Amino acid sequence: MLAPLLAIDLHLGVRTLHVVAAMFAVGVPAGLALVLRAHPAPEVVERLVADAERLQWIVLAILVATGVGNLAAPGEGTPEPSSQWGRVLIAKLGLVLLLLVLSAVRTFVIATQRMRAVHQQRLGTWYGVTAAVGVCVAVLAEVLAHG
Amino acid sequence: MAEGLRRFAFAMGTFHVAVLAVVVTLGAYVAGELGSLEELHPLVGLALFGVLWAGSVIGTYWALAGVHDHALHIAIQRGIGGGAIAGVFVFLTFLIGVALTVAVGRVVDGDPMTDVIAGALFVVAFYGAVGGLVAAVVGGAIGFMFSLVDWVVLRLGGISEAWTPSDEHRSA
Repeated sequence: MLAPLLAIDLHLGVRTLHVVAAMFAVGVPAGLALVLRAHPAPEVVERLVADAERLQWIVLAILVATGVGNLAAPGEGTPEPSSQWGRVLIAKLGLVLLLLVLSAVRTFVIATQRMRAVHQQRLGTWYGVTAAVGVCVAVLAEVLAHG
Repeated sequence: MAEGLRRFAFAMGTFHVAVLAVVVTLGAYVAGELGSLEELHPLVGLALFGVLWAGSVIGTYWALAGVHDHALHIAIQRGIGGGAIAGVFVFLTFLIGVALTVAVGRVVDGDPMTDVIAGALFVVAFYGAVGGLVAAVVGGAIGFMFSLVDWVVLRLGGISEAWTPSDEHRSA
């Protein structure tokens, strides 16, 4: 008797997790890009970046996992890939791949240099670009949800 | 175990599993096979992703820990090995999970405990050995692809030959 209600709540929970993860995926790099413009001390940058990188990758994993769940939920009711909705979805997934690759490049860049040697402006640009791509993904998500 | 290497392996392992999930989902959608995931319970789906994630991080750590040379062929060899480890880890975790679930169901149904344990051990040992080999091959193939992807990502970052993943300078 409670099973349908529980299923609805679970799907709602997965969607909520997806939206919260998206907020962090855009907000964390955007915040760091702004902070790095103020040229904080290298020790501060090192600590901020270490925590932010860990959080960012956790958030991206949650975003992908819950995104797959959301996509699978409608089952056969999902529009065809040739439809406008389908094309937007393919574009969104392409942007997610771009976001992942950009994040990986940024992580490589950070890993190769100790924070005192990192050019903060360059790092800030990486975070800014990551946040911008994240916003584009969010816009496409909104189009998918509301047309 | 260097903290820097551990953090880096976590990031790259997550990158691999996320890319794999997006590419498989995209392929399934374009092929019209996404509907088959409808029956998957959300919690089971998240648990499966969690196992994949853990396997990917473990395999990536193993691969990165052995890259002491910047040569591409070393990275590819370690990538294949790391992928095989991840594949076996994921398969065995999945198999043990299924065996435990079935065993609990049989105990609840009143089957003798010794029969249940013997059956579960046989399933894990037999299918673990056969399926583990297949999982190692599949994981190795995926690891090979990701070692190439990582090499491209490294180049996109404009990173010079002076750096390797196990570089002790990154442990800070």
